Amino acid sequence: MSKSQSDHHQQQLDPQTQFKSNNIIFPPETLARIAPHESLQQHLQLGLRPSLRKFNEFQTLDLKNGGISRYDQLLNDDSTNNSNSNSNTVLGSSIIKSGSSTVIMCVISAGIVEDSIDLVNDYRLKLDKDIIDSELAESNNGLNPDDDDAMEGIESNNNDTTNADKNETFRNFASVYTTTAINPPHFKPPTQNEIKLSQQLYTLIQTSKLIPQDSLKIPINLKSTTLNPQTGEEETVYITPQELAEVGLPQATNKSYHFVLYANLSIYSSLGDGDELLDLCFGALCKALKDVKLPLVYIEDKLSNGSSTNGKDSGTSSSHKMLASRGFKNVELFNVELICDSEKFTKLKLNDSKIGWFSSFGIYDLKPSSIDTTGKNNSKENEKAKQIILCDLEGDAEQDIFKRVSVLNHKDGSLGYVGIKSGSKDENHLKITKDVIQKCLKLAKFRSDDLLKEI
Amino acid sequence: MNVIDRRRNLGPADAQPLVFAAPTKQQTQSKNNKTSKEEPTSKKVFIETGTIKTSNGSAYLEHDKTIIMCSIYGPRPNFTRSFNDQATMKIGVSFANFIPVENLSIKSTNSINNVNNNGEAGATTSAESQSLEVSRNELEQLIQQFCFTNYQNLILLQNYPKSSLEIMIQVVSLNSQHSFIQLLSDILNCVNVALVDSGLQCKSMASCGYFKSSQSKEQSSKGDVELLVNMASDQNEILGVYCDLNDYDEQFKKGFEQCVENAKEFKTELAAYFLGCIAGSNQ
Repeated sequence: MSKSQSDHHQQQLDPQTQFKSNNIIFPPETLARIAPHESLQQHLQLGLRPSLRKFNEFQTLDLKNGGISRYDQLLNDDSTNNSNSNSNTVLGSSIIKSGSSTVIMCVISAGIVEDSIDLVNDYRLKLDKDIIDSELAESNNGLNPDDDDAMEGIESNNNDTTNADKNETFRNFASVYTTTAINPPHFKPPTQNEIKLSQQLYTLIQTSKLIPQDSLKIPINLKSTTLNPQTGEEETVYITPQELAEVGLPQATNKSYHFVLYANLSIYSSLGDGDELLDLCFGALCKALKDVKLPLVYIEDKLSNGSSTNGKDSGTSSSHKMLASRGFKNVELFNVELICDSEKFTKLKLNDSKIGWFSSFGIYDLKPSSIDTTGKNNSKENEKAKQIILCDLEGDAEQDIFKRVSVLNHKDGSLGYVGIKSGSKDENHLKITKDVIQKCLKLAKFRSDDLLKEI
Repeated sequence: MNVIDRRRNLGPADAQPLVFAAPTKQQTQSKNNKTSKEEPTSKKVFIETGTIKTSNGSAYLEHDKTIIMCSIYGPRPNFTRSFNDQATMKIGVSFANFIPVENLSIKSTNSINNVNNNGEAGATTSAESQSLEVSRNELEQLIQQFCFTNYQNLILLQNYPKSSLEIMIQVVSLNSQHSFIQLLSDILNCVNVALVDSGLQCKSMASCGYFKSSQSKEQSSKGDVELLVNMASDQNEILGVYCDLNDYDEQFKKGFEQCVENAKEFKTELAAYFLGCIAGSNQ
């Protein structure tokens, strides 16, 4: 606003607004800091957002594989890095850059868990459906039966009648144990936002049925080394469980195991720390999951000797250390007998149709401009505030927009999740209209169609 | 005592970590054959500044698959009750999750088990215990301490009363062929660059030199000399020396001089880089 314009307005507006808007003039950056709402309002009235994007303009995204997983490194190996990649347990990674600043790096690793009988043959399945329903009605965490302290999971409009079915189906799908860190490293324990983000990601992955439990099952091979009579060199042979079954031999072990996936998301130089990060984190997680390669697991033939036993020895101590680093102390580990081959792997099978893109929108009640830029009298005084949709919220001021619509679109066109936050009890605020929601859904579809090609 | 971290979603407690078998001899041999043709030259270092926009200064350093990020926050007001006539400095080091550090610690001590304290002028050498196993936390603390003694003397803390500085170092990826000392030299250089980017008042630009004597078989009984020297280059002031040596003989002297040379060389490179940045931004 130029000086002459503001002088002009002084004569027309009532004294209070004069003082507010005209006597003191701040440069935009200062105003954004001291009065974010005012700054946001003024920007939006001009048809621009503080980030100079248009209302419906998304941020540019750069989505790539991280290239730090052990298999990436094996492929690019050009030096004597054998020992290096040997201890690397990263199975998949991705990196996402949004706009000019925010960078999210997602790293996925895994652990091995013995199948509990509880999981395979759940007592709940045997009970009457009534009991299940009443049980679920008591516990509000209907979505996530495994997790007792689902702190702030995605709220869903739980329908009691469908809940039991849901639970049974979710049991067949796994999720990723996620930890997030915003602007790491910091000295503090995880903040509320980080905890919330991790939990939301966990729940979203599980409810979207992206990872079938079966794809995490570990076929346990037997390893054996034989001498090749022709070359005189030792050869490693793996005997798969199918081969064992064909010959009629007992399986390598009577226990069954599955992988659990861990993800670690580091969010660098993000301007916000709220819901808008969920979009990007979910994208990064999906991209990284696509990259995950699960190692071939075997039980070592006890008679074989050589380098592999050394690897085993160092492994037992390292597993203790890894547990300790993850917060578990004094854990008694039974002797590790499952070993992963250093090079052989299978790709993690995902429900590709369920890969999704999460988009969230801010809904803002734009009041009609109090400053008439054309210089005429305030003819618009009686005009009602109108709702506008802001895509990819960014920055402090936009973060305070409490009305949100978030949509998860799957690749197959189905909707995974729709969340609507209608905001405060402030009487002035407008309810989110059907039109706005429809428009949000359309925008989300458009965005996900565009981005899911890259995942 | 509650030992399980409830604030993080860490998954089932009975999960075993993945244990990868050592590669078979065949594989190692074939790869060794390949590399024997190439000369083990020092790898290029990639540096970028200003990667983390929310920080006051940041740097990204990549050196043969070792990736280090450093961000500096501050000077920020310090809200402790007592009056501080100079800035308090905090240093945070963290290794990214899933990065195994075992190789690192074993390598740092495998040649010589006895490690001495070394009192250089204005410098401290932190000693590591004889045991081969150093936990992640201990390693982080060790780096923290060493960095602290280094930068305490470099940054003009007295120019920032009542404020605090935070230097955050994150090791994103690790080439475990690198020894601990090599990693440390990369970390120091990363912080050095980030400090320049942050514009904090320092005595001078620092640079770190690293030296490792060639690993010829005859010398192995004596142990390899591996050390680093971090120095404020304009004033020839040494900020820190780190080595794991028993006796300070001719080899140490030679290595030390080489380190100083390397540090100076690195400094000229950096100066050229920053001058290039300025020239680029002016155009």
